[in-house]
Amino acid sequence: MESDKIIAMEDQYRDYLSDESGMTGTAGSISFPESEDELRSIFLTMKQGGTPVTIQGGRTGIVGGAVPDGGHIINMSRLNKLHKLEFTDSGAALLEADPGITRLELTEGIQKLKGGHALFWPPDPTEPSASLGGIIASGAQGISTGLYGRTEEHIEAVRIMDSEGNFRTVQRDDTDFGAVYFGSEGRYGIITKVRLRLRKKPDSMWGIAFFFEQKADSYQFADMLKEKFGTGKNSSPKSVDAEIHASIAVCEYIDRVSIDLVEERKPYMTKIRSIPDIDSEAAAMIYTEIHGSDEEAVSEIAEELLEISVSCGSDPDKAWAVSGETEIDKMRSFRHAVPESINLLMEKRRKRVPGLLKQGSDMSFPQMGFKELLNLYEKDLQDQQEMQESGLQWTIFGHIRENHLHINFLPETQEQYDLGNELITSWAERCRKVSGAVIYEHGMGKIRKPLFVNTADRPVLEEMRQRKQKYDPAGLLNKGNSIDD
Amino acid sequence: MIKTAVCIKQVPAYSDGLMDPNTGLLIRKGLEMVLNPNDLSALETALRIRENYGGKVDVFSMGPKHAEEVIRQAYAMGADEGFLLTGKEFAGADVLATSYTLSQGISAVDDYDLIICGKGTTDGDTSQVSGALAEWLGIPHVNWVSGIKKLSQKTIQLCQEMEGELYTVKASYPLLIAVEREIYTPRMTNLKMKIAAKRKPVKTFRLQDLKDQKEIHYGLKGSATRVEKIFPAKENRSDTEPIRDTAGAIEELALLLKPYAAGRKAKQRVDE
Repeated sequence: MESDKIIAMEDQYRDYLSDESGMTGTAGSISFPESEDELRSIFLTMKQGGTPVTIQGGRTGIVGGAVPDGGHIINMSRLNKLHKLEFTDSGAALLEADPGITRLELTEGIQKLKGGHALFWPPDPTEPSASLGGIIASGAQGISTGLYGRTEEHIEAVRIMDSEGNFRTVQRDDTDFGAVYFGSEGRYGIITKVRLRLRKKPDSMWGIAFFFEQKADSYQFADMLKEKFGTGKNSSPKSVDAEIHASIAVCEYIDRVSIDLVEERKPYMTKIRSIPDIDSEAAAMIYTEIHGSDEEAVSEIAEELLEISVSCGSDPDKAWAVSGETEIDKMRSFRHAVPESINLLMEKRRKRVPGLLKQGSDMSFPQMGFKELLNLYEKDLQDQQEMQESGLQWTIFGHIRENHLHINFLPETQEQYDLGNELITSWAERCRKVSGAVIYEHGMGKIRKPLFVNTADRPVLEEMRQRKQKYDPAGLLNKGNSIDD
Repeated sequence: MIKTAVCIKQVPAYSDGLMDPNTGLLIRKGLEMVLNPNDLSALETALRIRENYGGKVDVFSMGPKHAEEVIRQAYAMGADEGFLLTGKEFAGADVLATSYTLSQGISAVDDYDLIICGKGTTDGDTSQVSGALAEWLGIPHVNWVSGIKKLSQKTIQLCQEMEGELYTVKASYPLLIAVEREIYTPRMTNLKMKIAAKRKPVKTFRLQDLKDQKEIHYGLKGSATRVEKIFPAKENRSDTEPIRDTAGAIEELALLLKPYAAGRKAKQRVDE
């Protein structure tokens, strides 16, 4: 019995009632298991009492997936160890890790392992405190999917504890892996171990930032870049271990409002404080990374990008270029500071109006051009009379290659918040009609649940309900996430 | 037209403080190497002087062949010419030998008006090379420079910050200054210049290229110090007290900070 590990909710644990979305839930108790045995014992104790359980990782999600809906919280942050690094006969590097380890701990930990300094795990959802289990549960993808492939391709297997307290290992190739456990927000089982597939670090990495005085020029650049270098699918290595000669790994759009939000906070952010202020004339920034084993080839792609940028009106004397892990990390931190700054701003505004949650879109429109997509968004954002009258502000940033942009509203009133929701709902409907992905990588959680339910095909929802019946008939696991069962 | 030389060094991006027990030298193998962050401020200072008053900015570094990378980084920021002092004879140098080697290289290239160093390096962390270099060159030096106030063809007016007090110092050339890291935010490396930097030559100095070719004046042989042990300072968290966001928290915090505030004068920043 692990009753001493189950702690009644007290004021000191109130942070665990919410996540980065700003949503706050309720719970009667919390636990921090440190082993699979402890986890099992705690869960079975809860099950005996019919108490629902919410599994938490780093609580960095923005859709309320880790927010408890009553019951008990199992926080996985103390299951955060790295285990053995093994090399298969074919040379693949496999590393077993606990699900509570954060993205940062994972990166740093790999460097310290024997034989690990030249390896890395490619998925980078940019949030360093996101947990591995949370990344898998939410289906997070990050900024270099275009080159290295989707997150699930870099996971060899997951160990799951089911709602009976039994453990089993699910391999990546098993049907259950993608369909049941990846991106399913902890509805069907608890991830207790993850076997990661690492790959060799690229010998050369360049990070380049282009600045544009006209937004339209940046859209043109994005489309030309995609035309020249592909959307990612064509340029991806054929297997996760294949060597990359030189290719574009990252391609991110950041608008001026986003830049301003970051610059406002920059003096207080150690990692990016040394980045100089961005030219006030810049209306948009496009950040790219080129990775490869051949420094010369990487440099050649950089030259090609430079030429394209000049043809799109970007001043070549103002383009930044860094190389090496430390500098690239700094630029990625800048990129990550965008959502982080938005979250902090909304946290402040929420103190005045408690209903204002994080309000961002997570849709991918793969069939459209980048310019076409931006024009579509801007038509709604700028031209609608209702928007003009409301004074609702927004930012746009996100992944160019997948046409996956995060439009984040910055509401100050409940009316503005409702208007933002209306727009996101209308875009979701349009996205569904063109076979895009309405929910790409943030998950549905509790906040985006209505959006998902309203746009998903009926058979998909029915299948999810049936699956829940099969794997968690008592409905104890992560109650309230994705759909109402 | 001010002729400026900037001293830069390639250092590990991070260090666990490991030391070779036989040589007493830091173990750098396998670590990512970067341009010493303090030297970036020195280079930025020089580039701003060139932008405002004309002249040239050359960079000097001592290190193994791969230290060329930091010279190319300096090119990508806008440096004109780069010189690398390299060779096994220079390896294992302390403050004395490093500063002497740099002085030999700098003297061999030009009569510079201004030599700019960073506050110190993040690996050796002695902050003494700049002063020693000035001594070898026989020129005056000013440390802790936090701003450039005025500059002419003959003199320079500097802000110098010591113990919370701000001084204005006027000096004539030739002069060596060591600048504070916060003096200016270093610019980012530029794409166009980074591409060009790959093809731009780095001039290499070996022992035989220097005026003084006596091996005993360089590297480990020319060093006066021997390091016995390097270790990261122990973190002391025993006096950490969590302050909850409750009534009276601000008063509690003010009380805790009071001893540190007493007697401290508010720092005054003077920008150019």
